[in-house]
Amino acid sequence: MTRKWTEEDVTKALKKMTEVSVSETSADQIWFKIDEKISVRKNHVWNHITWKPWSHPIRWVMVTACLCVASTGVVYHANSMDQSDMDAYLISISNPTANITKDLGAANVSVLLGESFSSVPEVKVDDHLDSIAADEVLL
Amino acid sequence: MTETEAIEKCRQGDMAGLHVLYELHRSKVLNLSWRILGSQHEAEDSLQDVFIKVFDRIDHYRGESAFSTWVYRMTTNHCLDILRRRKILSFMGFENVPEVQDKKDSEKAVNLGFSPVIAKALEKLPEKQKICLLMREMDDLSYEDIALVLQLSLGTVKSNIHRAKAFLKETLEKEGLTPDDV
Repeated sequence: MTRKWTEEDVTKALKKMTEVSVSETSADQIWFKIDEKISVRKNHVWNHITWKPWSHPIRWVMVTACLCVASTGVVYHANSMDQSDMDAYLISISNPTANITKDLGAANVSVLLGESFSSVPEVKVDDHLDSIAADEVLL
Repeated sequence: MTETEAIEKCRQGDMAGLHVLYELHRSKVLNLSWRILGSQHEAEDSLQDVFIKVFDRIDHYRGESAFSTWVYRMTTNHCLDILRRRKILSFMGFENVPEVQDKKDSEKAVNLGFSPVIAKALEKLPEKQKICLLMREMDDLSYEDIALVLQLSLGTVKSNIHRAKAFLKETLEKEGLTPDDV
């Protein structure tokens, strides 16, 4: 009659598994590889320049906070610029004369337009014709 | 140099500290990797990667558990990552040639030093069950240590080991293998 498997038999079967071991030479070779990889990384130029915020969670929080403050500042500045532009536009369309008096060129025009026709000296067509005639006589 | 001094030196970026830790723990890391991954070549690569990770993350070790437990956890996670990657590659069709797979299984069995039937049965176990069983039976870790390493509850570890053994018994009986054959 065949014997049934028990938990102890399974344990014994697994214990038969051989232990793997590396020779001193290959253990040294693996160590040299580890040493080389770490040394190469240590001497990399980026490691002296780059700040690595990912090495600790609190640094992530600090970086995120800085980014939030910076982006809020930019958005706030853009909004205030928009608002001042809008204010200027609203003033210009609600009170045009105030704007015109500020403008020197436009003020001159308005003064001229405001004057009556009587104040402008009239040019007599006949006088002009006469002077031309006089010139012709002189010639 | 003691282990604690080596850890402190390693924290300061001193390679001599890491070398002492490597000499103390390389055998355990290599064996655990070998059992999970199934090949000595991959286990040696894993040994290398794990100690680079140890150097990188030594600041995360707070001394609440034994250093060996922490290294064990790192090794297990690293090997599970490799297995996950392997599964993804296999799913994508890079490693699904049947002959290659069969050859691999038989090579694994020879490498692991026991009958191919047990090797195949172990391969069929879910990863966590397999790792719990191997840690308990081969590395003689306590249930508490396995729970710490794998970050599982004590009950889960015990049930994993019990289920794994039951599955192995059933498979070996189905294959017509007796305890005296092994």
